[in-house]
Amino acid sequence: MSIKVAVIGVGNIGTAHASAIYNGEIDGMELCALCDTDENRIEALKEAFPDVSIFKSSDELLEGKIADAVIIATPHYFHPSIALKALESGHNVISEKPLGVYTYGIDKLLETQKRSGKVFAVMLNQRTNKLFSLAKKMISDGKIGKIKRSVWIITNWYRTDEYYASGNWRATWQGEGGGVLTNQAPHNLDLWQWLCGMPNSIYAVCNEGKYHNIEVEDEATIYAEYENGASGVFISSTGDYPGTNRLEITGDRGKIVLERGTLTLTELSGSERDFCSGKIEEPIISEAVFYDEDYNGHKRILQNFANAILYGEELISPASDAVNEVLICNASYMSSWTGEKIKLPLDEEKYLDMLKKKIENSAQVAKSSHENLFDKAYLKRWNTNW
Amino acid sequence: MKKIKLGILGIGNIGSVHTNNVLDGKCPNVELYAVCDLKEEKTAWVKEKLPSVKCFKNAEQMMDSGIDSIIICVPHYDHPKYAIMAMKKGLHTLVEKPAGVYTKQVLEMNKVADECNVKFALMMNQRTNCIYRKMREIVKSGEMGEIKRTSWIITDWYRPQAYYDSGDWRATWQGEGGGVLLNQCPHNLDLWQWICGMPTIVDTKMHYGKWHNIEVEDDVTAYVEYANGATGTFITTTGDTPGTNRFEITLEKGKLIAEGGKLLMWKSDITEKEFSRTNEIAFSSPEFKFSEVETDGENPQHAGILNNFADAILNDAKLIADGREGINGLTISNSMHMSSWLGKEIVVSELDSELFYDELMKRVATSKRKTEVKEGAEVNMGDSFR
Repeated sequence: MSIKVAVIGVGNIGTAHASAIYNGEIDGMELCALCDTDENRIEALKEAFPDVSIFKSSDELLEGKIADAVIIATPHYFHPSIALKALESGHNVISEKPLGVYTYGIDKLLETQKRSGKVFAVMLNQRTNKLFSLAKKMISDGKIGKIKRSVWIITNWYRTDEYYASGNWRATWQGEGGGVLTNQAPHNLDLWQWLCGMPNSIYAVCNEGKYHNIEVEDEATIYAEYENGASGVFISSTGDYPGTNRLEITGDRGKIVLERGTLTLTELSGSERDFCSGKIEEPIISEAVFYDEDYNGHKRILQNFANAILYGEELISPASDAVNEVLICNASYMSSWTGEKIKLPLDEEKYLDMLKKKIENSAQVAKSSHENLFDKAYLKRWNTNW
Repeated sequence: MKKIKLGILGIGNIGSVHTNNVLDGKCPNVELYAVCDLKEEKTAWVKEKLPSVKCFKNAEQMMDSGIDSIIICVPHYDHPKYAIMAMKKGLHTLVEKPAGVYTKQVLEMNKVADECNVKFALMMNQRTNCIYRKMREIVKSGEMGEIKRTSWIITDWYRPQAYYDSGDWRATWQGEGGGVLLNQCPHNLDLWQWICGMPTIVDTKMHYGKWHNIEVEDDVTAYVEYANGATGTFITTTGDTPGTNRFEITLEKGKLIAEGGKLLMWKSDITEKEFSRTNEIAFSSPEFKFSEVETDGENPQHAGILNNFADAILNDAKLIADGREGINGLTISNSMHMSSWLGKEIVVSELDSELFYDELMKRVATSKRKTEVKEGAEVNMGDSFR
């Protein structure tokens, strides 16, 4: 049994997905169509995928109903509207991250998914990383108890000026709707909420164009508070080199630290809370270390998506909770713009208005475009980088 | 050999450490001439071990007894008062940390130090740690360029409730004037500014009695900015175990991490900015070398500071921690409290020491000394002075 898949938006990542399916690397998937608006790209695609139908318009592709499932890999802003149409016309959908640039209207999208009964996933490939999956399991199993604090220094998203010059949509309010939190760190924001839960308030300082000549943020420091009283810090930047990727999660029964390809679990034999109040003797500490391994997260997510459609397998990254990282991102911008602590759930309409103002003032200068990448393989930079 | 004639004011936990250092022969240029404490039993054990020592219950009487130098180890609030008294009597003065509780009184103390021809030092024993000395040397040498980001997670100051219940003055506004920032963190705040310089803006989220039954702060997350645009975070608590002590500094040519008794360095020959400006490949990054930095391995701590103090008096050696510098760490600490109390970011140069004093006194006025103090509760201070 096999499902017919179309890729909408065949740039860097879209081409990698198309090639993986075309080459039979995903069981149960068959590439039936590609869609892109760029004439030059279309010519290149015809050559690379000679027996695959090519469309210029996603409407046409979706109305033709030739695919069972679509992969959306367009610029961020188009993700929700294409997803909505795809679901309404009976397609299963997997969208690249982020699910959207803003959350206004996402509830309608998720309702449509429920009504349609179709599978709707988001490409949050880092959830399949061995160490993050392990951390998720340890936390679910209660290994570190109730979470008290998390600190993620994720500053190894280094990008050069040349990178930002490589596409005129890059790092603009109009083209991307944000900077490091929207383009590079969604994976980390997602993993953060996946592992530690959703905060109920966000306070953030986002510095726009600090290290590069861009109008969006290339540095962010977020402080989050949670319902149970826990707190968290998230620091990201595209201007640090070599940068750091270190996540620490402390609970009342231990601590997990992920850094440089290792996960260190420190466990207490009892709760710190009980020791603090004198109920128990000082707990015994034990430590275990785990190592990361090479993997291809994108293929795992695509395989999971195929299996969900074919056999009802549970989704690793369903759209229903992919909205959370967008909420954290939006709340961080809003906090930085207003200087206020933002309570979640966010006032989505107010956020959209503020974003629109940013877009109105967007310089959107057409920069020199050097985009001529035609890698068919998944790039290493899309994996977890320690 | 010439020796200083030292008097120790306050033979509590830390006063005993200094006393023992001298009695154990770790300070060859120091003669323990006199000790003073309100409680007779606190000085009796010193007399037993060192029959020649003069014991006092009154500070002024000890100051007039023929000593030429003094260590002030009384509760925080009284540090400036006794330091001023001692310096005015011409005594060389070494003050325990913190320099004081509020900057208003410390400014006064510094003014007196300027007027008196005596050595004035501060017990910043962590400045003798080889890791932090080396870190400072590298940063100050400029070989790695300017600082871009600092991040200190210093959450290994764990204290159970029994610690707080061991003295009625502990962790009260009236007795200590603050919590983790005033009691545990002065060293870290001092080292932070000693190595990275003073921040210009401080923005803090603080929790009072979050993990313990106390009225002062035991959980702090601070965000700071520096004059050159660099940013920093400082996270501390007495509620986490196992905690973390990880100090990371990102500079233009790499980064330094002090953790687990090691100093790690990632260094590039080119600044990130220069690389970003000149390279022409969108996804690329500078080469860097990784190394564990060698240090002299010496870490003489309290005895080291006392010996340096004696050396300064006898041979005019340069002080490791000039007393006047104590105001720096305290200014950061006061700015953090002020930010929390007023709910806004504080411009450090505009910290209003009068307003801070008034705000502090409001809290002192409603401060409750603890009633459930466990007299004689054993607190092992042996390894708490890090």
